[in-house]
Amino acid sequence: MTLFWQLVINGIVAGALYALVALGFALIFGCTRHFHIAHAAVMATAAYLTFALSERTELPLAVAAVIGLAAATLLGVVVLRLIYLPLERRGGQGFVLFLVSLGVLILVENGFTLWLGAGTLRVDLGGALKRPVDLGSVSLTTMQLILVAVAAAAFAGLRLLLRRTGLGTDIRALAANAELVRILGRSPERITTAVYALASVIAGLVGVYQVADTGIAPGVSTNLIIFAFVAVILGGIGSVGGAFAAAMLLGLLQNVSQLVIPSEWSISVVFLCFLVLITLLPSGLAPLRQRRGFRLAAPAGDRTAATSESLRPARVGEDG
Amino acid sequence: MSESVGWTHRRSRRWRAALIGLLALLLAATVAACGSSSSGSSGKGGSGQPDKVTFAALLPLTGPNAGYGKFEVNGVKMAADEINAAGGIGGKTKIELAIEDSQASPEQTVTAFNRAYSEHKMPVAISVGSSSILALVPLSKQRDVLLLNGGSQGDELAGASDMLFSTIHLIRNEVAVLAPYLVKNVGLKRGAVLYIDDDLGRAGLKDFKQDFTAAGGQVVATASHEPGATDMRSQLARLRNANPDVLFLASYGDDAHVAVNQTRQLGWDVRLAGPSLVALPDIIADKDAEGLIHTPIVFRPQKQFADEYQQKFNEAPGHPYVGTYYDAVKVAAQAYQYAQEHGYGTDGKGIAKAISEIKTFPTSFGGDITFDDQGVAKRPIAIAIDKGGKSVVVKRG
Amino acid sequence: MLTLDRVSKSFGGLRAVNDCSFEVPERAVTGLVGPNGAGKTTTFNLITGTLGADAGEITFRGRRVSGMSPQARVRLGIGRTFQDVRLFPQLSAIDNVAMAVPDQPGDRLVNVFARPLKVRRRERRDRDFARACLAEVGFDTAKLGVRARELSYGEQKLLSLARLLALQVDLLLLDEPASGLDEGSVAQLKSVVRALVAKGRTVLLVEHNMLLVRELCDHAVFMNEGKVLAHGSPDDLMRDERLQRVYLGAEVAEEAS
Repeated sequence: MTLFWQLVINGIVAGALYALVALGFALIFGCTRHFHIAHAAVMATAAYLTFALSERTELPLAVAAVIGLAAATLLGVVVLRLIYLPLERRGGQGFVLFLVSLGVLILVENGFTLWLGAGTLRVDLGGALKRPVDLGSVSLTTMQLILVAVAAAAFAGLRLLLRRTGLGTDIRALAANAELVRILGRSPERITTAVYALASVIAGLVGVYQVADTGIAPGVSTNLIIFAFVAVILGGIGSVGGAFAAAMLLGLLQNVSQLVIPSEWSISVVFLCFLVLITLLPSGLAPLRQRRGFRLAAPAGDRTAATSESLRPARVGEDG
Repeated sequence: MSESVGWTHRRSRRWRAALIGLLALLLAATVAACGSSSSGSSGKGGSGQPDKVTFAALLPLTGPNAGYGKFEVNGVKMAADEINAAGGIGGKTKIELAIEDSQASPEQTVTAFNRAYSEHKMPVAISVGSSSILALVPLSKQRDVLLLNGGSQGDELAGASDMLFSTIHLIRNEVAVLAPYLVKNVGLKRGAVLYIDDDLGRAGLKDFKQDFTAAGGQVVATASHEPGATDMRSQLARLRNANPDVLFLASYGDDAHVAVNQTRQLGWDVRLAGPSLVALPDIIADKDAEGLIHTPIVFRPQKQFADEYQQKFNEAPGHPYVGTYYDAVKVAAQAYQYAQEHGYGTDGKGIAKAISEIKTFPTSFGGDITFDDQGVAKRPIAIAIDKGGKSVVVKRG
Repeated sequence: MLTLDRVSKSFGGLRAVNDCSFEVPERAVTGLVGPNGAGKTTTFNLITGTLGADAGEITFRGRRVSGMSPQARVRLGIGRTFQDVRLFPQLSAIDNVAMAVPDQPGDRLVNVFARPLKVRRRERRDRDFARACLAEVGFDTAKLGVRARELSYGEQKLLSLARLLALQVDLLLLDEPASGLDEGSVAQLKSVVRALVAKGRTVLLVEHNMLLVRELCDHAVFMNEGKVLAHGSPDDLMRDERLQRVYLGAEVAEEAS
């Protein structure tokens, strides 16, 4: 039983990490349909810069982390404004954008590898945060506790922002119909920029956590983005809450499954479950539990319903 | 000390590996298509001893393993310079080095081999990385080139080819010493294994199971981690649940470091053990690894060697690879001379035959190494314990 | 106020708008009438910039707007409703209207965090304004928080009109504003349009209901097959026999014979 609870805790910690990445990825994908795999590069930038600034200069760790976060956010926004938007204006979408995004990821990761080497890089927090906290028979570190808290806070904060603020309304409107936003005289580009900044800040937090806890190495952030992508699909495209829940589920599944299955199979098990679930529920988990106001966009069925309902019959011949 | 092949593998998720493999294939095809004009051979004269011979060194000059490649190249250079300064092999044949970048990846290593061969028709190639070397085996037989390994410890290298010799021992040689020590000397009867999910890790697992059980111990739980994993907590939790006396780590590099740290982060103060792959300087210096029982490859060269190295490369000979690769060149040179004298011919086969006959060679480590019939160097293996951030030898080999 | 000068637009071989010229006078209501497929909605799209014209010029207050983005035209003061409503189905009624209020500082994430109070104040003001717009069109105030897709078609129609008011533009294009509305709502619509003109706004509307056009419009433009056939006062146009023939169809023709 003890082992079970320990695995559950490990699963929650792993899930929290996936969830943070998935939140940003879902937000971006839901709003823009950009397959922003360079989200991993944003994460890596925060991690590598935090490492480089704190280990190679005299800067205190906190300052290094803040600069790393800022740089990561800037990278996210720059990739959008200097690459994706001009690309879209010239008609590059979908797969083209994904390939360009992959290019950015490879470029950024290789750049940091050339600069800082391919080993696992870690900043030293002096040990206190990594000492285990005893919770009866199970344990986790202060650092992990912080991660779970940050994930919960990011989730709640994002939910609040989307439901309670004007920017949140804008984001939900953008996710539903970008063209309409434009016709109302509002700038989809500006809202998209806010979305990228928001998602990049969250990714930056993951990067800083990674470099302070288990360390950053080439491939680490790519691995996370793959889990995030699975979570977004599983959670239902356009549903930030669904992506969050699916990410937690993935983490739990991956860890608790080790109770009965050798660990080398745990990833395979996760993906097998994913395949089964997505076959049974092609639009993901979200339709199971429609949470009001936390969906970015209506599922496909919903959206057409709203317009067709408003289209009068016998109007087929009308122009425009 | 790290297993180079593992180092490359661990960094690439499978799909990335596939992508990179594809790119490498394209690159290889391009290189092959361009072809490099072969110019001149090893300068073999009509009769008697030639005045020069080329040894190819296919080592990682770039990529994630370049840090180790530097030590390997330096060891090779130092041995060749020393021999040449004394007039060459047998006072006549100068060694020319063809140093090519292998990136320690099989594709690159094969490309590098072909490039070096088309230009130099060398009888000897020195390389690193289990998969890379295994990829060279058929080529080396076809081209009649002797292969030397000074860095990889994968069990699958043993007996892989009669044209292959390793101047470093394999992981099974270390486990054969370490496992009985744990059971008989320390009294640790219940063992758990955390291994990296690649060839080397699985070899370590197999070796440990066999030797630990043979010594009277019992392996109560095993778990693996992906190469490059950053989260091994659940595996460790499961191993802890089996309540073992000792946790044997069949992993290496940063992964091993993560394993050590996360064991302690779970609040588990189990006794740790592992082969030399685990005993990286960073890990030994880490408080979390206190008490780690390991089999170090101790490289304490003679003062003269150290001074010469310092002068040449402006740093201390900081890694055993300096020694094992230095030894590789020395072994090849001595066997070359022997083959020449015995009329075996100075091609790869002749030199290989000479090594098999000489068997025992002096080394830069101080003692001798003896090649077993599978081409692996045997040297005494010591046991050490991590005490206060230092590797302290408790039992000489 | 708005002038179309020899504007054309083709879709493949179909000339949806063909050499079309007319003028929309300021502070008045102009009706754009014609049968299905006459090119009325395409003309709207050309004016608002959702479509680019193949030829001709559109000028608004003396400024050439052809070539400008839809956003830029909204900022200049051209806004519209749609025949098929086009709301954000997931957003509440009030959020749909608030979306249209121009110059929102909360657009910028920086402001959300750097000047939260200012953003908050502006948002409250924008929502108050949105509420006023909805009240003005007679939208049921009890349904402010209801999601757009859960409203009836008539309510959605009013909502889209309120959204247009929130845009605060000087030229309002209404695409069949009365269709689908009950009598009470149509009366409300008329009073809203009249109030707008009284406040100095200009309205251009597409409408099938000729009675409404006659009642509401000061001018009317008659289009058929992408061409402007006639313009003048609604009464004059109603007497135009081409319009009777084409638009009112066989029924009128029969009566005449």
